[in-house]
Amino acid sequence: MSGSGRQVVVSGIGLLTALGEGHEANWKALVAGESGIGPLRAYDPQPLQTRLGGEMPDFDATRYATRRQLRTVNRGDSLALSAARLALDDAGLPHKMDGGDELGYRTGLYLGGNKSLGRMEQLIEELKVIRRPDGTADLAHLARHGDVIMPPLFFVEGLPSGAVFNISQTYGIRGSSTFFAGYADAGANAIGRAMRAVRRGDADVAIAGGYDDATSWWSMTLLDRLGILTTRNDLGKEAYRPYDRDRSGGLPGEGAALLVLEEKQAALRRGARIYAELTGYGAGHDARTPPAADPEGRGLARAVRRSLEDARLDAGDLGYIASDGSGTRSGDESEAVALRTALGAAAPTVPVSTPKPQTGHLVGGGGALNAAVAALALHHGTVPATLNLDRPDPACALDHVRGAARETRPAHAVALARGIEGQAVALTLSRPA
Amino acid sequence: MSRRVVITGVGAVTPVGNDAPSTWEALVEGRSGVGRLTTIDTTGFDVTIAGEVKDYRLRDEVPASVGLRHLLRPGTFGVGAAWEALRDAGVDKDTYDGADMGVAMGACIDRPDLQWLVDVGALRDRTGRDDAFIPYAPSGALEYSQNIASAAMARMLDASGPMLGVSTACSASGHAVGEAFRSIQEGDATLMLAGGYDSLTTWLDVLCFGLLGALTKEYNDDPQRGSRPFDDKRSGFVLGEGGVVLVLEELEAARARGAHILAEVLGYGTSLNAWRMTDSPPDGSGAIESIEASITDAGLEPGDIDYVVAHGTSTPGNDLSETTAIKKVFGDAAEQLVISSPKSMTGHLTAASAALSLLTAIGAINNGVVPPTINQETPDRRLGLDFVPNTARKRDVRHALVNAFAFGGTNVGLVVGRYEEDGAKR
Repeated sequence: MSGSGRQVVVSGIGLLTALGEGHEANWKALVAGESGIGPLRAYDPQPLQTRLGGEMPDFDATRYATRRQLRTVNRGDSLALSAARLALDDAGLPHKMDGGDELGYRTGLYLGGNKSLGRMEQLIEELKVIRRPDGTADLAHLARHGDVIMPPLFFVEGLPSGAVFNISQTYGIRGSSTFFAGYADAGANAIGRAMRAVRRGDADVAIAGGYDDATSWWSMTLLDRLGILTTRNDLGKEAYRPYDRDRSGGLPGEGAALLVLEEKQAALRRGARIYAELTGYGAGHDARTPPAADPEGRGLARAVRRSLEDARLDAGDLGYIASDGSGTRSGDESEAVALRTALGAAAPTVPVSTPKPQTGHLVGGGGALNAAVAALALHHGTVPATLNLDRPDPACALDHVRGAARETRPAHAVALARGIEGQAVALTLSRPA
Repeated sequence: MSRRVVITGVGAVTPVGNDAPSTWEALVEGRSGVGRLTTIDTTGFDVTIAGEVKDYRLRDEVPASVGLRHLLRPGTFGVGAAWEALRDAGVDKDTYDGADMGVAMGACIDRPDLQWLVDVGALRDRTGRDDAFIPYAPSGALEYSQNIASAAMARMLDASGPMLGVSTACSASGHAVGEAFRSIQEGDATLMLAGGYDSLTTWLDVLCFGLLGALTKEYNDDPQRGSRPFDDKRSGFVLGEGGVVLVLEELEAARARGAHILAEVLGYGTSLNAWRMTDSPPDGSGAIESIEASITDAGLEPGDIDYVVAHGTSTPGNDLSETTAIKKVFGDAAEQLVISSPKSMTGHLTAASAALSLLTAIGAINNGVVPPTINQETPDRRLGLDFVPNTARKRDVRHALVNAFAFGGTNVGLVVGRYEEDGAKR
């Protein structure tokens, strides 16, 4: 039965975004309205229509993991492995990297991402030898000399669930687990399913969240022309403007958001700092042909209703919604319609904002970032604003927090995530009693 | 007490049959679907065999009105299997409110086109820039996603319930079915389409699984003998492909509509090896945990399990560590178990393999017959259990365990049982 028995709390938060490393730095920048968006600089983005994003040029994974642990990880997996370290340290749970024990069979690991392959640079370089004079690929030559041509660790590094392996191996995590692939829905479903696992007793602790190297050239080859990103490169930090009349699409951001979830009584016994209770999870789907969203956002409305029901709350109890804010014309409008449907009479009075114009869309990590922001909003009693929302679009009418953060001490919050195929997830978080 | 979850429909597109009945029939007859690998030009490859799906045309099976754009080879198998499963269950979009129906699928993201990689290399040579690249077309970007086929399945039902895309490689459909089971137990859905689809018969996978030494290279001239789980002469797995999808329903709802119940999902357990990326620990430790967790979750004891559908890949390491785990969990009762691996006939369906094992378990429960492990010619004396060598066995199966393990060290156990109205064990 939902809500009965074991309760689940958020006792650790690990955040890596273009705004900074660690949840303190991120929160400070979010509330101050800073932006991590800028021209993509890790490579020449000239072939792309969208050449802005939230990059982390100073990120150095060796601050969080050993070189040996980083031997078979791509950028996205190194962000996940590093965010796990941040989350565990923040939770104050002793772990192997700190001289402690393995986390063992009672700790679960639930991740969501959008990984496709390992590092491409060496592969592309090595494959040059199979190019025939006419430019075609000589597969037989590759097959005969594969042991010399293929970078030895490329395939192993490319395992989609590689971060699950790397984190479990680093911290001796042997408990329940799965890995979801998708957009923002992936990391949010990971948190939701992890919460349920702790609630039903499959695990006592779980690390859960999402991550993505969304600004990499390889990710951008896939994201660039889907019609979901803005091409207003001239606008710089002001290009990504959810719910604004002049919105024209989102921007990618790289990063990771991992939470430590813990059974409440165990967390209380060890004197853990509790940011929030995770009280509800709901998922839904639009059943449309991708990448089109249902104009009514019915999958999202369903997810929100189910999440509130799971948390045994009414819409009127909500003090904050960390929204998806894809920044596309139809995405934002359908999101607002879905929220008005799901919240009913409470819709005009629930503060709504999204961190995405400041961090970029973390894609596989976008929903998990929203969950972290909702937990921090409950913890700090402050609701951050949506950046760049200068002229709200009446079609997206909601109680948008804009201009400056509001100190409203919300008691309950919902974090939203939507996927490219119409997936929707809503996580309900509550201020600890 | 959790809501009970039953299986009311099965669909399959596999190397041994283009639907679930013909797949089951082939498994019972011990017929191999392994043959020459045709999806790529194998000139120069050490491995030239695979279990391929034969002559399957989705558009002959599923109406175009479902929306079949952007589906690649694995997605067509999944969508075809889902369509069959729904018809088998007698379910359509009016059976339940769309908000109470969802989809959970294990699959894998697409592989990059080799010519594209070579073209990017050529561009880098031509421009002298080592960061030059060529964007994908929008259709290519959508095709690349593993969840496009799941979205088509949701459209068949106009389903707006949960949509879970699992990507844990060779255990993916096990996780997907398990998470769908939980979703129904916990009230998130009344019906879930759950299973998997995959086709790793690509240039990248054939080459790289081969380089890792995971694929057998010794049976290119005798493909049907290549996949030989638990046999002493096993030397690696054979890649397969396909889609297998189940209809899971909440028991009371299924009964209320008079559904034919094929089996009950009783238990689900997962674990992590935290050991090595591509090997399982020889002491079977991670697998022991997932097997025990799933049996405990089912409210059963190991002695209640009659049949184990083994992960049984035919690699020296998996089959040894899986057998070790079974012996440790079942103790003396291991001698009484029947254990078999459908991979001996289909090859390894990777993300779809656990769902195929569930089809096998459901067939055994309903027909009182256990499919064999074929190519058992020289028993591996270190293993020494009853792997149902070469011919099917009549056996009353009340409870079956399905094992699924994967690269990355993710393990799944699922327990399914004959549907009994009073749910005696629960």
